Amino acid sequence: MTTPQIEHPKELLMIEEDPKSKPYFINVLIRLSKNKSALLGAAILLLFTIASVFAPLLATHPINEMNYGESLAGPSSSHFLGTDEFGRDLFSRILYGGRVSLLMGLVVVSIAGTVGVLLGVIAGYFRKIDIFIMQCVDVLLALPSLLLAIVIVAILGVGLTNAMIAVAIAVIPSFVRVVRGSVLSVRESEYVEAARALGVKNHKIIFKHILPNIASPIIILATLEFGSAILAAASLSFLGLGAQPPNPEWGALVYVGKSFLSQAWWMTVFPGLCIMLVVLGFNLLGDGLRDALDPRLKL
Amino acid sequence: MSSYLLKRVSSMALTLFGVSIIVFLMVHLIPGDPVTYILGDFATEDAVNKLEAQLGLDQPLLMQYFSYILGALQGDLGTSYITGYTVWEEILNRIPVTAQLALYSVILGTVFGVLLGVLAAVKQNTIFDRLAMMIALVGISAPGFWIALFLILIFSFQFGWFPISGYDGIYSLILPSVTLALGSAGNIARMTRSSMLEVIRQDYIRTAHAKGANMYRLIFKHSLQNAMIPVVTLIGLQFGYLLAGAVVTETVFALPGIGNLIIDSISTRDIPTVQGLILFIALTFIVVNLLVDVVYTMLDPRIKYE
Amino acid sequence: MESVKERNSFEVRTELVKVENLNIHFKKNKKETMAAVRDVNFHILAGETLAVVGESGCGKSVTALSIMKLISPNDGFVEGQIRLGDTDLNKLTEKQMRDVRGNEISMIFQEPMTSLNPVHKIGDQISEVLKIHHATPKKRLKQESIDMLKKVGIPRADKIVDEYPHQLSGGMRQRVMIAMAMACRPRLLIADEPTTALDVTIQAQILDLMNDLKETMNTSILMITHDLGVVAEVADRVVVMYYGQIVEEADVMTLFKSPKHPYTVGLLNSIPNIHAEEDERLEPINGNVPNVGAVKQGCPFRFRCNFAMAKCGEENPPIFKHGEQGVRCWLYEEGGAIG
Repeated sequence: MTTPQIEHPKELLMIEEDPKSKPYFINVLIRLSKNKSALLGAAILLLFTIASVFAPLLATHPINEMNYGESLAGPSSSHFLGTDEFGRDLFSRILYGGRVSLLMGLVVVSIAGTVGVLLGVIAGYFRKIDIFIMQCVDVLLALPSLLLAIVIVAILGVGLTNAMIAVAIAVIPSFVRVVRGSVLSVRESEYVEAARALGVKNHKIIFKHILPNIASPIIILATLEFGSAILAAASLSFLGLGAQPPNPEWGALVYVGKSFLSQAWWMTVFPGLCIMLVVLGFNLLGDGLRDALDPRLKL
Repeated sequence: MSSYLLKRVSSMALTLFGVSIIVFLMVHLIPGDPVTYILGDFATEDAVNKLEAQLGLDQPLLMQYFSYILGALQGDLGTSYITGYTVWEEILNRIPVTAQLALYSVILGTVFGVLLGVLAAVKQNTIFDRLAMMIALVGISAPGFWIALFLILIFSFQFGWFPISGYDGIYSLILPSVTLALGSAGNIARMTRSSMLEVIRQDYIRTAHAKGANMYRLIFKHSLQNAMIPVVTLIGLQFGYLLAGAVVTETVFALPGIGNLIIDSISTRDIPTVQGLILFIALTFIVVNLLVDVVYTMLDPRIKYE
Repeated sequence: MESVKERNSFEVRTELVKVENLNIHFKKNKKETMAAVRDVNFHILAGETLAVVGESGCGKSVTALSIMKLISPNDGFVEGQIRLGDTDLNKLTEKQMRDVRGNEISMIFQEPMTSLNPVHKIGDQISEVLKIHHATPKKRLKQESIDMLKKVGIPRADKIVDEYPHQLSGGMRQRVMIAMAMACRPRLLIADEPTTALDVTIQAQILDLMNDLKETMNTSILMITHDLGVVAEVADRVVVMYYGQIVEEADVMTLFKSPKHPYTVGLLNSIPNIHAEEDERLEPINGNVPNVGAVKQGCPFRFRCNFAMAKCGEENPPIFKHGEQGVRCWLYEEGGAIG
């Protein structure tokens, strides 16, 4: 066999070049933008955020303007979503209520996220304290979180601020559990082992190596918990333990609406619908983030 | 199995012990003096002292805790300040409603959730899948109190099929059960779907296919039992949410259950009752999750607790 | 269908399976498809073992799955004829095909550890086939399972029948898979790398078992493997596949004695030979099988071939017949009939 050899065209063997490597977060955004339900979630949240921020501009009536002549009037061209028992415009009240509800979610997630991440990192990294922290977490998880929040409100007293603190405390255990689990797996990775072997200080390892690598689960959990925090805070208000009427927080609006259910369904239906949509938005976005950031994560 | 059980029960006891401390501390932190509440603002100092001694409130907190926990271990959770019944009697009085409510909603939620999840998994990426998952997500996202009021609006006010509130037999538990079931059905459906999709990819499903099994057999005989293993954990956890959700639902429907009692007792500073109820709920939750482990062994022969 | 079995008794070997112009396309995305298997023709005689050999990614497992019609329409579609006796399997409906699977054709897989359902008892998994295909009375099911377990050489069969897969070793599980596959006395057993995941000693036992069962039950075997040792052990005839095509076919003796296609030669050179000269070195084939759809024209093996010519880049060769042996290579153009 003396056939002349030919050059092996290497490029023919190469099937597809990897698409030009882009920064990680751009790739995540691209994946996220292909996910229709995540986009829907983001759109819902954007809409409600804009509505809350520009509530003073969008509101058609002053929220506390009473008008007994128009009390319990159904949706109309002058009152898009009807009026309440004092003739106040529900549409305007819901706009302002959105500010309260979204802010509550933000505060709760900020508090619970900070404390939860701190405790989770401590538990996952410094194993000696782990057992103690996790035993506490187990104890708190043995109580349904809404129940826990109710008891805490009972201690702190009824009101918007206290409701936020109560929900935050009730949410902390789930942050601790997730963060600890992630820290444990990152802690065993070669680069952390290597850093430890080189004598890098603990706080440096935590901030430079561990925290950046557990960012994904934290972001996903924070998004999902944002929704549940709004839900829990609204539930407290509905039970009369959170925001108090005439505060237009959505849960409080439903609490009032309940008494007029047979005469004015809109007072109950619309604020509740808003809660559902916002929570749905966070859930859709959270699911999309999980698929884009960390598909194997079970949250 | 028995040594595993021993380990589990001892860890349960530890958790419950922790719960008792936290609950005791928290409940005593609730502002407001039960003595004032019982006797009114104008009671004589003598009467106040006498009642404090009678209730054990003159003792230091640590002593109060020990006498409480000793009593609890013997099944004595104390006596309600308000009604004069023992806390056990209070619980036993209220438990039938809550237990029924929890049972019906677990059954409803599981059946509906599993069916929805299986449908979504089998018809993956079709319109059925998207619709099923949207329904599930709406169920999770909607506040329970709102679902409850919505159901009342439609089925009680509009159609007049169900009572608006109060307890009058199983009939009056239908709407509350549906309310509670919707949320957990959503979670169960999502978990069932992802678990089914995982199982359908497995080699043994291909084997069953190669044996000539039809769709029904593939789904119900080969996939579902495997897929249910993680779902069962979730159902156990859902039970906790159901107990909490019962607080809201019982309030909306004015049902004389545990949840309603907690809210009432908090507002009347009935410390022994609040304490007893929360301990009871924690115990129930922990026991349910122990039962979940037993169900595991029935579903998955690979799991043997040792 | 009965006629096939009858004729066998006259020692006339009839064609049990005939695959003609088999093309398998996989969906790349919503619009495009790509051909994973192209223009494959082969037959299997009754009572014969045909081995399909090739590296991973050459389309051999897909071919096996297409015979069982186990390629989901969501993933791709199959063109061509797949005849079992007088029936074209490719034309059967899913419902008709279910009667064939596990009954007339059955299949065992590479991974015995994961191929059995972890939550069902061994006995139930075997008797399931009987339940599906034969109206076996409930009382008989367990005994039949025990009998099958005994046939595949499992000790304590009456105990094992009530155990779960995780309680058995890999070799034992593969025996169970074989018991399950043979329970309905199929006419064809497809074995997809049945020994790859097993220890060497166990491999030989499993292959012996398959040979025995083939004899006693007069079943044909389609053996999918990358292991030429397995081929030597069980095959009557061999088909070599590369990049979704058959590149060589021959009976087993011819293939080992005078392999023709450079790929086959390469495969044979890359296994250690105990009779080799001391300084003789193994010659692995460089590179990998190209991904499906990557080669637009010419012979797909030319990138790894030491004898590639200009012509190889222009046109994909047809199969040239040299007696019973067929080879898809321009080197054998002369004197060969196009088959």
